Amino acid sequence: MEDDLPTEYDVIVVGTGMTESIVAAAASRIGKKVLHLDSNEYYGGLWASFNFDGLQKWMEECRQPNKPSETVDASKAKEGEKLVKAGNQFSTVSNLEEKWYILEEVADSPEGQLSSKITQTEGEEHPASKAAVGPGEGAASSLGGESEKLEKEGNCEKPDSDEAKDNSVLNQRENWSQNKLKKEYRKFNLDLAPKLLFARGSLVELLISSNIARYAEFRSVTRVLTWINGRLEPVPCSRADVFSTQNVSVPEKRMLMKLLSSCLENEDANKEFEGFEDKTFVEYLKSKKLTSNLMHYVLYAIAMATENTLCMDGVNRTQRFLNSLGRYGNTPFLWPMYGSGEIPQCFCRLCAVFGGLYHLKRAADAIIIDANGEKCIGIMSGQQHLETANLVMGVGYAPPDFVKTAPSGGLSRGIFVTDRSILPSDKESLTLLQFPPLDGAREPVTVIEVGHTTNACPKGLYVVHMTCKQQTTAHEDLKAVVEHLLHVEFSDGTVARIDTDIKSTQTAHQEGSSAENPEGADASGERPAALKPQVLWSLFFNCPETSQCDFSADVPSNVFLCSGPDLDLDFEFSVKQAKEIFTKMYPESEFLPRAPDPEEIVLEGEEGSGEGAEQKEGEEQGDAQEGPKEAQSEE
Amino acid sequence: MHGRVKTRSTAEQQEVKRKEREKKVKLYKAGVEKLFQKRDGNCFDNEVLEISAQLLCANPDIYTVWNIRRQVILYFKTEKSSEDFQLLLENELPLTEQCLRANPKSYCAWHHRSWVLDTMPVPNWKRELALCNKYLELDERNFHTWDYRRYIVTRAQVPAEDEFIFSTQKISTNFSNYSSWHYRSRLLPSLFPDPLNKRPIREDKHKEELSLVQNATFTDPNDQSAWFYQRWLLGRAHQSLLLVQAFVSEQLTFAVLNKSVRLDKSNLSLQLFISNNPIKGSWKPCGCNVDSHVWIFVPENQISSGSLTSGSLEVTLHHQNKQIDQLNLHIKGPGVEAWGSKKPQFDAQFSQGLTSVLETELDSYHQLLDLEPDSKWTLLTIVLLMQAIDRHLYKDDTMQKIGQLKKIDSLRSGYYEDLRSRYEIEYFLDNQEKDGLSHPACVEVKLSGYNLSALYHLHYLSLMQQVNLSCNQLTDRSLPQLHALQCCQVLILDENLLESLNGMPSLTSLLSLSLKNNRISTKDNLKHLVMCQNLNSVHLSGNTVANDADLEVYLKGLLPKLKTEEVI
Repeated sequence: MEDDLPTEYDVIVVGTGMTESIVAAAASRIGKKVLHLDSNEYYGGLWASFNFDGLQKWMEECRQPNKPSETVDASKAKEGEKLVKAGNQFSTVSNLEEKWYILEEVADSPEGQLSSKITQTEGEEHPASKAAVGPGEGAASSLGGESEKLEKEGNCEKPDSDEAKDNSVLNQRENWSQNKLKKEYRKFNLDLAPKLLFARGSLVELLISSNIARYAEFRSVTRVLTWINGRLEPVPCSRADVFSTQNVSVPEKRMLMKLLSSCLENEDANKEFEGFEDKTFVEYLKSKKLTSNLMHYVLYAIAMATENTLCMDGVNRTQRFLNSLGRYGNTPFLWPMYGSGEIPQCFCRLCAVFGGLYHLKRAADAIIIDANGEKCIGIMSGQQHLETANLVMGVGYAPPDFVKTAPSGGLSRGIFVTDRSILPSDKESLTLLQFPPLDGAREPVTVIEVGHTTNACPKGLYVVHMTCKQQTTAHEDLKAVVEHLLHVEFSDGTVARIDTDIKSTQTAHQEGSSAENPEGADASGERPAALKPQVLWSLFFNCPETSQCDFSADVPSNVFLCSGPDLDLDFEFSVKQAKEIFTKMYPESEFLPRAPDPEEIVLEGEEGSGEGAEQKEGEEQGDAQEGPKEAQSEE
Repeated sequence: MHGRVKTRSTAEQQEVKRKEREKKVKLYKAGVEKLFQKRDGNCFDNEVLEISAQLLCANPDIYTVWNIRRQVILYFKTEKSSEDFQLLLENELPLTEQCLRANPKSYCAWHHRSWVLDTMPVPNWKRELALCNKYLELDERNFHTWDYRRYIVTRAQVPAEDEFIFSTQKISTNFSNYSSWHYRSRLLPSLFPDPLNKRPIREDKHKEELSLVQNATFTDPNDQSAWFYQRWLLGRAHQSLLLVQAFVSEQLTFAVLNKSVRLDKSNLSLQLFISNNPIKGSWKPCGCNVDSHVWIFVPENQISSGSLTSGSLEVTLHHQNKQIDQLNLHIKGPGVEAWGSKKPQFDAQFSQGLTSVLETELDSYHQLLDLEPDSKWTLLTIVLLMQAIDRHLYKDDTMQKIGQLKKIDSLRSGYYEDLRSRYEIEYFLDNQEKDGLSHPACVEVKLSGYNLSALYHLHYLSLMQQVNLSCNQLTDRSLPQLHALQCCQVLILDENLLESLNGMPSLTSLLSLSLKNNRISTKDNLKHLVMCQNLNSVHLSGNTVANDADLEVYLKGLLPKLKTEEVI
């Protein structure tokens, strides 16, 4: 029933998560014989991206109770060997909650709706009906009847003709049904672990230096938003943004630029941070007499820190952000086309090019340990006894004995398919929003919104990802942010939502549409407050966060465990971990040296002739265009 | 060697590249030769186009090849039908694009493209405009593209409003863009002219632009593109050309203008009237340039001293035969000389409205200076603003800020020194008694001890007979400025940094020149004294050259009127 695999390897890698894939590529690249297995039929494990159908299957698997443990056939072990059964304790996804907010099928007439059975909501209170919503928070939107009431109660003006026109446009939006959305399943790429890449982060540098970049395509994140004074606002993060924004005054612009450049300077060279070593970043920012909104931008959106972050940590985080500015786009971030799940696959591809052997849907059932329990000899996979000098495995497959300290935390994830952007603009935006901790107690939430140009979803829709540290359940942890940003009530598509957002007039500065509309200097500054996106479908789940676990204590010396997805925005942790594992296995070898381009490879019978190389030039150019490109040439 | 992909070594690669290059050079040379042969034989055919295209793709910067190509195209113009000719020219466009990809700043390729479009029966301007926009997305600062774009915009008659929006867009993506700022300064005056003619543009737009620049300068005070644009916005109102001084005598007649101009090229003319009779003659620029503040009159017939006694004397200034200014002269005494003069005007003449805008700007930039005490552009702007608002109120502040500029921007300390010298001279001229400079009195003008590094406005001293410029920092480069001192008889240049008299203008009135304590070391450095033939005394003590035993003989050879006892 199973293909017979060769039985001896330098490295067997179990699991196709990010760290595992990098290690596999690095080992294969220096000529090691690599076998890479994954028990799933897809790459990436908890790092995967799925189309809509694939995600449904994944959920189904998650819902199934753990398979009854097959007993390991001890007879397969040779003399002096012990078998340890592989586990699955740290790959368990919990609190899975999927919900539809639209009809299963669009009805021909307004009647005959509400036929769907999965659309029952839990009777969540809608913010609009809460009296507690403060006037400045004005983030309420609701169905028609309520909104009229609100308009009378609130002191907001009648919508002017522009707004009315805008609404009529909104009404013409496409009417999505569950079936229609499912029919488009191929157009989705939904990430279990959405990650952005810092333009000068370790992964981008590795992709370039190893020449793996040509297997991947990216889009740059177009804007960084923050939640301030009860509304969304673009954060001026680049020089061009600072110049154009009308949300900060002219002297504030200088203060902001000055602060950012002092954070960028070499710490040793200036005494800027003297005396703040033990203080928080907030205290440092306060000492610079920043105005409150500048402080907010720097703390939450640029440093992506919290009030408790220590000064130097905050400075380092700010540096990380700023160092990545100006390389590829207007923000420091890249988003992988077709989703984050593409990235581990790029490394797998390189591994395969250099001779690595791949087998999906094939598990490591047991790990073979020598009699002393000090060294791993190989694995049992199906009926085969496979030997290896080193074993690298995703923590999800690790036998319970290998990881005695259970992971302390978990991730709370939310995925939402919506009908418009959280902050509409002329062009489709790719947005990062670091939602500050609400009421102090909660965790900050990373919100990433992607549209169809990244192939995340069909045209006209958006996918919103939310990630935070797990406290209770994903749904509970993210609830407040979801309510601030999204309209999470069932909609049958027949009642047009009317915008009731009251534009906040609290800020002293002219409200700007500047970031989206830089030439709008002469506009009155009044932007019709946006309608919150209607959620069509949502999914919540929790998964373990294993980056803090100590993997070295309880494993044989030639077994290396790899963490699952972590909380960080980028893949930096995996890159670091992979490099460490590789260096432990092959301390003398170079980690992922540059892979040759096709034209550098000498094929049979073309030794020494220039002709062959010339012919391949076109091909090379085609390839090169896929990789990250250097920023525009300067004059 | 399991799994190792065999790659070409770098030495191998280099060898392959070298061979390829060799082959290319050979082909290239052969192509050029062939092309020239065909041109010499007046053989204009498709092959010429093919060969030249290949050559240009390899190197887009050979003017000759482009010219040959154009020759062929023009030849085909008579040979082909209009449709075919259009097609032929359309094929030129991808070629120039390919060349521009190789060198986006190829003058030839850009020029050829505009020639093609102008020659083409049906040019597609819209497509060209879109192409420019694409290029400017790739490199928003390529001035060739901006230049070409302006050409397209003129041909396509794109409204200035659209272009203004475009410029705004470019500035908001990256405001460090000289071309785009400059474009605004061209567009704005036509879009929003000031009905009162007091500002460069209409008041509301002017304020908007100043605020836009402020956003840029506060975001990055070190970016000079925005500061340059700001200088245009704050530039003083256009000053009209005036006749400020004139002098008439038997030997010497000249007129002085407030700006250095070239009379013939600007349709300007001067006319001297004696007793309402125009005097025939020609006006020559004083000094060695074609333009000048001081114009010397060469009459056809010598002005007789007798004519200076009777009636009125007047000099008029004309632009395109229309009189724009005039100056009446006073006659000193019968048969001697006559002169006229107006008070110099250095204050910027802004309207009240604009002055209040400048004051607001000054406040803002003081604020920026508090945040960035070492920002040179901020300091310089403050200086310029203070000078524009009230020169006398801000005199001390101006001088103090210039001193600061010299320290923080020591590489350009010379520039700041010159700026200070100019202001010093302006303040000095302001402070002269009302009529102090307006008649050739024997009173000495004492511009001494100001540490001047350069000379400005000397044309206001054209009537002065004694000028003392001692105890300054003047170097040889200031000497040509002395040309304006046409009436000067005694000139004192003691205690300066002169190393030679190279650049000394011809001063016919000059009798005595004092050069004590300068740095003149050899006789040869004095040879330009020959320009002042009427000198009878030269003072050179305190210079190394004074120790030269042959000095006296040498000077006497140069200056026939020199008195022996006056060479010290």
